[in-house]
Amino acid sequence: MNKRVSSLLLASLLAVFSLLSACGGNSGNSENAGDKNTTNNGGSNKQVKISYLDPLPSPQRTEMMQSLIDKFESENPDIKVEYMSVPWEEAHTKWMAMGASKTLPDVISIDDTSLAGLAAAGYITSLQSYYDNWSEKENLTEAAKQARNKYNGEVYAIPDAFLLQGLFIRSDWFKEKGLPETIETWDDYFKLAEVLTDESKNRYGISFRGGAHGIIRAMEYVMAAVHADSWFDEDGKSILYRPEAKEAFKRFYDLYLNGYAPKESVNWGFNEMVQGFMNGQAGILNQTPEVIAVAEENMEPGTWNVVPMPKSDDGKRYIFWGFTAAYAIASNSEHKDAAWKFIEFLSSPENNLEYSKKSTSIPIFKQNLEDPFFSSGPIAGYAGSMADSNIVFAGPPSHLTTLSEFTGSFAVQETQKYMMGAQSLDETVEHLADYLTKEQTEYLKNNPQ
Amino acid sequence: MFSRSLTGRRRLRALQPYLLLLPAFVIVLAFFAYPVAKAFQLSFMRYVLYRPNDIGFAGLENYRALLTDPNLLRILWNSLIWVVATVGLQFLLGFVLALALNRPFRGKNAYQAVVFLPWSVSAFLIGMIFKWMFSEHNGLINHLLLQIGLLDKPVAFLAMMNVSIIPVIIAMVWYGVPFFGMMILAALQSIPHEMMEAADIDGAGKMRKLFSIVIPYIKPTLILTVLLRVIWVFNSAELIYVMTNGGPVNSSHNLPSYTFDKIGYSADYGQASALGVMMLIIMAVYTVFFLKATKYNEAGDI
Repeated sequence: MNKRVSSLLLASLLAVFSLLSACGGNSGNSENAGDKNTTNNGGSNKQVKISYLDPLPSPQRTEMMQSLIDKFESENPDIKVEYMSVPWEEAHTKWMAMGASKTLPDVISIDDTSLAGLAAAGYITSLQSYYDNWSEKENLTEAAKQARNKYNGEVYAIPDAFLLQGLFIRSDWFKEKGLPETIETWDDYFKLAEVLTDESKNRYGISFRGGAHGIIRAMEYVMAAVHADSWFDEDGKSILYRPEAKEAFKRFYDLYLNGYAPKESVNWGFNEMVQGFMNGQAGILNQTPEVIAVAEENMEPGTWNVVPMPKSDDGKRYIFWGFTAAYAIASNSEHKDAAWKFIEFLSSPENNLEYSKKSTSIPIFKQNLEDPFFSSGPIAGYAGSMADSNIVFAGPPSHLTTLSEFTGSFAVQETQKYMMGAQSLDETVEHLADYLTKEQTEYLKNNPQ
Repeated sequence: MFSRSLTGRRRLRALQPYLLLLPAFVIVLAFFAYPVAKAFQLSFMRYVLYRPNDIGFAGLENYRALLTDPNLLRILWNSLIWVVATVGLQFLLGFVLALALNRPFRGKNAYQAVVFLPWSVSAFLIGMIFKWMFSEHNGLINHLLLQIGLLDKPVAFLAMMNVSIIPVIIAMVWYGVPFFGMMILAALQSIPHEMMEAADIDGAGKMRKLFSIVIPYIKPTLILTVLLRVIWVFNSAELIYVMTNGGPVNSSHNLPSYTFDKIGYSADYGQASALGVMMLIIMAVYTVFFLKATKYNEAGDI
């Protein structure tokens, strides 16, 4: 009997433990606040100490931020800045947890998708009054003015720099076929997808994203095709209900269905897309500037380039640009003026230029875009779009708290069913539109415009 | 005076076992009981990270949402195939491997080192390697099948509904065979020589020895390793995550990878906890039934 009980107990304990280890991934390590700056020897008593939380730590970036902080401290001897960091994967959880316990650092860098949630919860404070008196605000690019750094019409964060989509192209394939190395319009994009495909050589036109967040790329085209600046009509109904939107949706997924993209791309996410382009399976890749560094490392110079996103038939570019580390001030900060001073310093044209160059992202000031660094080479493919004033911000509805569930999971299943031929076009588009409309309607009910 | 100190000592004596158990008890409470209780509590709560102002008691809402998920049947079915195929093949191949290694031959040590290698490779790396091997272009498997003429056109195994789970199972089998091999080999080596000699003298054939001596003798090991592997494989999601991420259309998701995918995007900790509790129940029920069905307590006696 004893043996029986104890062996049963042992076995079930083992079972439970292995389950625990499988489920315990979310607990997070809140103790580990990252590399703390230990240079504080606190001499004068008037000195104000603020802290800054960086969600994108990397050896290079941490060094860059540290040197900016050193420069700031020498210019402002009465303010000390403590640098802290949190890995990107845990950053969102960290902000929410610190916000709830009122322990957020004075200045935090946040991304545009999290801004609304943090502002709505009251964890970050409105910067509108500081922004209104900011001497540099007139020099911002159109893109910076239109950026999603507002909540209820007030500015809550100053963007650090922008990331946006551009089209990586295999210039050598273009040359072989005698094509001009540019993609002017969406019509050109679809035509090139077909022309560049050569299955006998294992070459496809597009490095397609059928996996997580692929729907964002499709919606970008849908918006351009129907000239909408949102996923929704005024009344909160998804634009996908429009017949011409369904047509555009079909045209976009036909890239896959007609074989202008590798079959495996039905599952592709970020890494696979980039690899698909690098290893010579696809001729066009729609990606953000951080991929430039990877391409420089892995591809022969002269075989690739980046061109701006195509224009719609009304001559406008419907594009989505975003930021990942805009500066915001915590509501619980006791030194908001000092915190703003720090943000103002980081966002000066001079520092912004250095920052953008080092992080290969697009600066927020007009004069910085004229810098030679941004007007030649692959990065010009991005800066070109942002310098253009004929742009329409056509981003996903980041105010919806279920957006990432939609783009990362729900839409993936629906569009994969369509790509596999397991579901009709009408049903697919209807499911997507219903889901979005339901979420938007609920949002509008709770947040009357 | 004397009697008091005696009773004091006696009391201490009586307490002693508990005092000695205390550290273990505290560890179990802190790292096991508390998280389980917390998960249990969370599973009855509305707790979405993106909605910090809407946290509260939700009753059975999370469980209802999980059980009415239209994909649930498909995912449970996948999980079943995943566990049965993976553990079955791992067990079979592992057993054969152990039997083969249980006799001396030239170069045995080197051979042993090589066949046990997969166990020490990181699952993510294995996922990457197998994904590459099974890819439509530049993939080894397609290359071989084309060479021997079984295919006349490369196949995108990982992009086909209902097929994409097979490469993942193959990778998982490859990964787990050494575990069975090692455990069973260790058990085989504990079989007393005399017993085999006696069987030889009695004129027992190879099969007879295998089924009448070897298997009954190592049955406790077999049961425990299968039990552990089933739980392990049931909970394992990393190869799926790396190779197909569950696609296309969920056809290669198992329960944990599906949840990980879903909860990862929705940040719904309430639902995640409810699923954790459900998986716990499934595995606990399985464990009890498995041990009863295999008569584990009577195993090991011949």
